[in-house]
Amino acid sequence: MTTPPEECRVPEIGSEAPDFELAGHPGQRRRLSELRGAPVLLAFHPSHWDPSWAECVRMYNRMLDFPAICLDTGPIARRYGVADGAAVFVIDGAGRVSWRHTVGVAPPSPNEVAEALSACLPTSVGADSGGWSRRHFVATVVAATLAIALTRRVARAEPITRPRAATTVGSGEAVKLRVNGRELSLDLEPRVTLLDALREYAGITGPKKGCDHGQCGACTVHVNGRRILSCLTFAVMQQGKEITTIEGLAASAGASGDALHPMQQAFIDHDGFQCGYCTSGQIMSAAAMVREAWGPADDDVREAMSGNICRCGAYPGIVAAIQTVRKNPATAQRGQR
Amino acid sequence: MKPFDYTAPASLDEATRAGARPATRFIAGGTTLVDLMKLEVETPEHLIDLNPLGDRDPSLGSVSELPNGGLRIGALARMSDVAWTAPVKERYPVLSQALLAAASGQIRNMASMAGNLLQRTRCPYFRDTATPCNKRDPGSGCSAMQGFNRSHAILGTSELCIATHPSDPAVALVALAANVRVRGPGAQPSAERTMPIASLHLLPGSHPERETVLSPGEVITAIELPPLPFARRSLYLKVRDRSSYAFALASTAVALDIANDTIRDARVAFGGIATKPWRATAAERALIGKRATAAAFRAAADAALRGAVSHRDNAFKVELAKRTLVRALTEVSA
Amino acid sequence: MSDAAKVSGNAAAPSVGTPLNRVDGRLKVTGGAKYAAEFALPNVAHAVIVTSTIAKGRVRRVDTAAAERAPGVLAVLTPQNAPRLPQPQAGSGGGPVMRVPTILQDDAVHYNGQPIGVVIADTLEHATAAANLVKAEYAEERPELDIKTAPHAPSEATHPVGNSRRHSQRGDTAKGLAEAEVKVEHTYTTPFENHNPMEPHNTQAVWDGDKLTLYDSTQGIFSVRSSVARSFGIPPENVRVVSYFTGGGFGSKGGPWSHVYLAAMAAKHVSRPVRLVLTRRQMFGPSGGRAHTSQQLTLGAKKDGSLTVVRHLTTATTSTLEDFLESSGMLTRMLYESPNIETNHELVRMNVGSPTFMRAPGESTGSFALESAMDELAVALGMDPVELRLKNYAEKDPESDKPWSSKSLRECYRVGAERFGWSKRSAKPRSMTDGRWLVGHGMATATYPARQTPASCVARILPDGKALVRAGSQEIGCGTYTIMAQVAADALGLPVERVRFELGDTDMPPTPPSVGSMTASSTGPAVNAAAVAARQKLVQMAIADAASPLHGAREDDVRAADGKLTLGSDPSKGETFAAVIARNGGRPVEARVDLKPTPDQQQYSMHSFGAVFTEVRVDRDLGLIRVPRVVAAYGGGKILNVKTATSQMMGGIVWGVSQALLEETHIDRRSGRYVNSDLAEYHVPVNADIGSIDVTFVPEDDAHINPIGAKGVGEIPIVGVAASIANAVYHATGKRIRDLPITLDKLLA
Repeated sequence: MTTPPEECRVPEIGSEAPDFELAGHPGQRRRLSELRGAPVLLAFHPSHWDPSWAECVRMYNRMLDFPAICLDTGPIARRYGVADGAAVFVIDGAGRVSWRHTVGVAPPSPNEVAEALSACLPTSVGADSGGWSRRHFVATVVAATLAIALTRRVARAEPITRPRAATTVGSGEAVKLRVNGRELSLDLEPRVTLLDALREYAGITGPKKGCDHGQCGACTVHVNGRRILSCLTFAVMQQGKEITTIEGLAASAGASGDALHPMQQAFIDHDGFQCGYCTSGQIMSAAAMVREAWGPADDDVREAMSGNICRCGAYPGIVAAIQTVRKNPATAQRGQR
Repeated sequence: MKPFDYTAPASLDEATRAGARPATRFIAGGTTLVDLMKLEVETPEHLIDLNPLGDRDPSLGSVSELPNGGLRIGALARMSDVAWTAPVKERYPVLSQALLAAASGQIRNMASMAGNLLQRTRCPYFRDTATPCNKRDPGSGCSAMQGFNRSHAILGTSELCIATHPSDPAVALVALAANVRVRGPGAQPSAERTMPIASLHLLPGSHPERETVLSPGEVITAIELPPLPFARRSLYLKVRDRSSYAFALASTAVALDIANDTIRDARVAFGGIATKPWRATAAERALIGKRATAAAFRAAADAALRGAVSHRDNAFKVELAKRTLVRALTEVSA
Repeated sequence: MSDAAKVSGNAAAPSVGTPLNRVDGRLKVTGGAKYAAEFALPNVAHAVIVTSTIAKGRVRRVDTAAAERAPGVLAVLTPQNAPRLPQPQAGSGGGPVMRVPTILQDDAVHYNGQPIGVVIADTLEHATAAANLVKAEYAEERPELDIKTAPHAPSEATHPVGNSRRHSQRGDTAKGLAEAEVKVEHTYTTPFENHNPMEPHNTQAVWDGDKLTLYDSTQGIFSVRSSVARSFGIPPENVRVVSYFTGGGFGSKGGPWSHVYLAAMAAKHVSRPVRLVLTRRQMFGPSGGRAHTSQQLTLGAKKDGSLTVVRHLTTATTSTLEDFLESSGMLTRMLYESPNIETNHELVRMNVGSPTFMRAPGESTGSFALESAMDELAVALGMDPVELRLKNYAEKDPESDKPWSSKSLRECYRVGAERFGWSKRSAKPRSMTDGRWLVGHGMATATYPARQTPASCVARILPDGKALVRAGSQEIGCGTYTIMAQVAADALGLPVERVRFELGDTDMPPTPPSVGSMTASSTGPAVNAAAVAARQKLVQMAIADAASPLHGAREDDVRAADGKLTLGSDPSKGETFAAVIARNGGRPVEARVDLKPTPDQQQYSMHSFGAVFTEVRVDRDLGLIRVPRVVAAYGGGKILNVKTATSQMMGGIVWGVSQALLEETHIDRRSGRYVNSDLAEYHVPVNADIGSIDVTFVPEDDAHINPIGAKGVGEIPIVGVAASIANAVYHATGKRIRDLPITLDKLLA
């Protein structure tokens, strides 16, 4: 199969999904188009390693009744306009792209994928056990090679439902949040904090819950460019503002593709983390702190960053990373993968 | 957290009227309220967001000059913004330092000046609904007096409550004799009033649940700093168990007017040791007219802590508070 | 293993030892690393634990009516209605001490804050609000909360690691005391502490028939699997535990606590996946902590400093649920040479949460007492503290008389002292000042056992010339993903960028939990062995292949480096791994190893050693204590990655500063309620508390610990730091503080 030399654009919803051949088990060469008649989940695994992708695809396969094809990025991904990031496409029974997820660091939640797949079913069939055919399918996860194994799996009996926030006093309205440049419309009660809105409702898990009471800094995000604690504010109060989480930090600074923000690269180089749980809060805090009126000394950085607790004790590396960025803005701007 | 309904009124008028209802709270930065709501220490049924009012009327969130040479700080101004503002840093350094000694960078970006004045005690028994607390649940008893009370107050206590007021900026403002502008529901002239900050907070006395003189529906709209030229020679000293991001074991705000080696005027206030931000007029009187010497500082400190009442774990605060004051006066007069 | 096999594949340019950036760094700095609660399980329900408000007694009744009626609530489980588990007490804490979780199987209350119920609802908000509506009635008894009066655990409580006895005796204590010309005897106390990793304990549980998958924040996926399987009466193969990243553990996540079982129980009850995350408050009590100790330390010496007697008597607290011993005296048995060494441990049972392993359990508390006492002895003798240590240097293990597998302690003292500038110290207290600061210099010895335990690993060379290596280990921040990739890369002969190491799934070969500083020294050798075995298979494949340039070569003449096999005797002859595989079936070349320590290790006593030097500054009036400088040197065997290992040491030293100056869990002496159960009042260091930390690894070859010579260094860096700080505080102020933490009020007096 020859590879078109130029990069292709991401297929539009409703357009035909680019066909390709799958080299799998000996004697089992399949083309995507041969799978028409039922929806197909096509996932492109980012070349940057992430063990959770494998687990997510495993989860999709446990709950879904349709083949899940997981491929490393390469020639086929490029035909789908996917250069090096993560992407998931749902292709309906007629071979058309009906849903896609091509932004963000994290794979889409199984619920989202299930809903997208359910939408591909013929309207006469509801999302209940009777409508789903009892086919065996298991798709195995492919780490580094282009391969696919289609085997059979037991269909799920229970329908997948997304938990909905029940309506209580003053709740049930759509809260519109602009996060990392995307508009999110979430069904939230007023008592949902910005942190929980991000983690539990929007699937954005970069900001972490360390204490939930504004005492550790792990939940630090930017709102209109300022560092704040997302656990100490309600999502409903943050409408109409620009919210940036760690996932969107690099892009917010103009980095393209999946280049890192200079602060992210500096943390890697100076080993400014160990377990990683406080890290997104540290980096968001650091990236904002360099724009605040702090003095140039290490002690100034220490004081400025004292709202971010690191139990692993990576403080010396954190200070070194921040000072590197502060002192070398030119080299820092380049950023690296 | 209990559910509540949330509104963002379009005017101060609407806000104050709505705020006068029972089971209602105003929210600005949220750094105290959201924390306490999660603990169910605060359980409002209605939450009124004051922040959009600041968008409509920028004076509510900014620092501006007063005709008399003082400074006006809008109630919704963020702690970090005020701390870094040039006129505050230059003319009232004690306030800038107190602000920067408080909390963390992120919290200072969120927290409003007025909200900081109204924050509630850090007493662990107040914050734990499973333990008796006269402030949170009047009549239920005080768990701190016979319990763990290392952080608790030695000044301004009563038989019912020894909880410390935790604010740092309030201590500086009390030393500067700031005024607080308050607006209540209704359009009548009496709906607006100004009071010295020293009158804002109440001693626990026999009603520790009442912490300020504010009535339901009243909001602080501004903090006014009177002109005080000698406040250029002021500082805030905070002593705590770790280098940052911790409440004061003892803190002090001082300002000295020194001419010809003699103290012409003085301002002294304490934090971390009292049930409300503590203006130490006895210390001020002991300093005025004296030479700026260690002995005078120590005498002032003794005067300030006269009548301190300590408990099992906080007795050290008496001596610590004195030494903190002596150190602050030494540094500010250098 | 043959000599040929032992030789590193990448001998010319090994990855091991280089400061390679963490391979999981990109994931961690982009928010891409998924922790247990972050897997978006379909249809997940949220569970919140309800805890007791008394410390001792029984739950008479739990009123759940309001909670059950609350919006979104699916179920409320209490001792009244919780399903009875076949073997609820089957939890394992490692060794003979069994962890006893509180999982609603009876109505007993053992401590204030104990789980007594769980609410399951459709959203986190609904579950949290409903949990506050659950009200319990108790039959309350007076709790045991005083170490001086609490009852002693009568049975022989064994040391949690191995089977050491509570009492040890070398020689004759009375004789040693009689021979002493100088004596010091004092009591040292350390407080209750709590681990407080940044990631609170949390678990997601999902059942599929009688198969259970747990996404858990843990240091021990196999411990979780075996404990949960046993408790639920299902075969271990039916339980899969997944943990790719754990946000800190420090000993609190070595095995499952109550919340893990409760998550599984809740998921089964509502037939939905359940996500259960402990609140920060619930990190005080229900998930372990460090025992409170009172230690009496007696040292007797001749005037020349040689120890005639060492006696270390410890009283440590435990809960009424289990007899876990904080074994403070263990290091005293082996650290210094003396003809008469006695240690004893008493255990008292109190109505507090169960203690558990907490970074350097035993050594961190015991070293505070021992190394403070050594300093007090040095003062009494008028002797330099380092000289006193050297005078009593143990050339072999005084407890077992075995030779050390390796010991570089003399070099550590020398390097540490030199880098610190120890010679500039004037011995007299309060003799060094800097304005309002009193300056003090103090030092201490550090030590921690090194051990290799059984571990398995599978290594696979892939057709494209890359490699995938798997072992069911954990990544808690020690850099496991990284160092194992480095070890494997060198053993395979591949650049480290082409090697991926995977962990965190009980479907993978078993390895020990990430505790006891033994991952590098147990899983590391297994990774090495599996990679070597896979490489050997590939080599044999090439040798047997008539079409290969290596056909017919001797195995020990084939070199593997950079993804190529070449002849040592003729480097122009060779081919890539991929070429070999392509011609021979095109399938991955795989080897699995189940590695055990060799019997000859028993002949040696295996420990890491180090020396730590600190400078403290004490404000002469206010008592504020600052630690601007810590210098430490360690002999930790082969350091696999000097960047991640240095970070480990710095982290442990930060823990030592924390132990010395900040940490103490306060428990109300009347009600047993945890009083400072949050991160505002339980003080761990903030960035501004930490100054300069200078760490050196002295070169050390250990031929006996394991084939890769790695000892494991996660816990030794906390050891001795608190004593060195206390010693420095004494040097600065003339005040000897024997009760941790050293807070300013103790210096004001």
